[in-house]
Amino acid sequence: MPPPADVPPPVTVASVDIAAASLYQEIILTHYRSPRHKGVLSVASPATEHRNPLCGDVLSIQVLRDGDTIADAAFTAQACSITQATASMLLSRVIGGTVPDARAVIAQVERLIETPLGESGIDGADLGDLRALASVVRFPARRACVRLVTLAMTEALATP
Amino acid sequence: MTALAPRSDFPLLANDPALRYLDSAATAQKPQAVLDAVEHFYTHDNANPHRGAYALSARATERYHDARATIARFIGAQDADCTLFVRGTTEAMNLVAYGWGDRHIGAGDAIVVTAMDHHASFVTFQQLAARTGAEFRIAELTDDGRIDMTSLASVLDARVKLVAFPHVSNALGTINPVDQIVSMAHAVGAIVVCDGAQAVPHLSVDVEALGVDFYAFSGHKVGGPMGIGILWGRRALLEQTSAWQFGGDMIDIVGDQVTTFNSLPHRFEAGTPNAADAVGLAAACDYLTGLGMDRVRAHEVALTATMLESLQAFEGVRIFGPMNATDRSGVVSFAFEDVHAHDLATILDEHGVCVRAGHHCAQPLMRRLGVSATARASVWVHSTSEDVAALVAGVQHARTMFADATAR
Repeated sequence: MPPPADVPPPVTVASVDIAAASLYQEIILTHYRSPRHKGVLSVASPATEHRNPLCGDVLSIQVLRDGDTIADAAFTAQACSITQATASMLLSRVIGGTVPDARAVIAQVERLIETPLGESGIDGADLGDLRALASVVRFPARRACVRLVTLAMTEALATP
Repeated sequence: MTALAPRSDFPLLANDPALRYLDSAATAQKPQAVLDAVEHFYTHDNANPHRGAYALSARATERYHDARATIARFIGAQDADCTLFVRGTTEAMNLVAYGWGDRHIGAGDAIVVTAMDHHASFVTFQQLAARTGAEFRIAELTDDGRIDMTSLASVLDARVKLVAFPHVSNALGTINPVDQIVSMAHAVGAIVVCDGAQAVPHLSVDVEALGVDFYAFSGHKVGGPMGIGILWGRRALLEQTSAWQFGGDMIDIVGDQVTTFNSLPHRFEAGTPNAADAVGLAAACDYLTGLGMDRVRAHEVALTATMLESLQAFEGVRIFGPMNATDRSGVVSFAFEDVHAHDLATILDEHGVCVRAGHHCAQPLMRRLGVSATARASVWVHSTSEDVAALVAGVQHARTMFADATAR
């Protein structure tokens, strides 16, 4: 007897590659492979540590300011690829810019991961590599992995 | 290897033929018999137990009473009145901590847990110690994820009033030597609180023979409904345990200033009981009895051996807990250096494979293992070697994806 029509076909490796690849895109894997700004700043600067109590991941961010400019920043993490890649991409994007600019980028990232693909109206060019995070909207369980970074960075920026 | 119980016994699995559910240690899927029992209660027997004088209420009371007797039999409890209904293991541990602990533990005393205790036990007794001024001591583990008996012996002395440990570790799968721990604890005059949440669904449990003083488990991990569980205790200890929730059902005479309390088990079951789910849990026990707990155990040992063997073949894998399938329940926790547990779980999900990724409510254990999270696959009566094969294929896929990424 053939299966009822509404039963989905078994997942094939090809469709898995397509679906998972949309989360683990080359941009994200590249930042995970060779993270930018991972480490500790040589200049003493306070670190903001954030944890995800549900999974146990830990992220710490240091920001060195020169007036309203982000002169340098660095992160350390014991976390998944999404969190580490997000930290690498975010710091790459905001270092050298102003604090208000960084806050605007964070707001865009947070909107990006909550809005269905193609509906955010966000200028992808302005976000740089961070636009790869648009795929996270399809993985609600993984939004917290991005938010670990945006929360830590928001707090780091609020620290004088 | 085929399933011990047909997939068709579990409506959720029957409705999703491609799903590979390897997270029974988090919560079990529900047999049709359990869903039928709950529905039958609401459609034929529903009234408030212990209250009405009419026949329907008497029937509801009887169903609730029968459920308790069935569950007591399932865990080897001779005195069904010492088998208390609670929401689950967490509430059971809190009942022991507030009801027995606050009354019998004080400054100068000590409480012992193990480094593999679930937060339900670890945090509850840590907070009992903080509240009473007692010293909180932790028995450490061996490298292969067992309780280190030398460490346990070193934290036991006459000051210790309570020893808590899991019958089976939820994060490692280790089956602990209950009799040995009980005799060590009793030798210093401590009572023993055993967390059976990961044992009752998988092993034949006889609380009297185990020799423990309190034993707790959650119904939802046994295939029963969520929100119902059991605390079993020795009558002598329950008689010395204070009620910790007050209200209807648990009282004897309510005076204007003073109230006297009901007998066991009612003294610990304030308010309208969760009778329907108690009936559902009894049905789950009957379902497992029908399968035979010895056969359940043999089925899981075989699948666990396959999981251990297949996962060990991956380069760079760390498997936690004893490497012998007969020393653990159907739980395998593992981690890779280059693939984080959450990334692994996301990729496995795309293969239709459900595993748990995280700290498994055992952060003290994760610190000792030196990881923030592990992936955990767990089997039960409906699991098959096809489920395990899907897990292994998914892990292979994740490894390939991240190996490409980490190739410099």
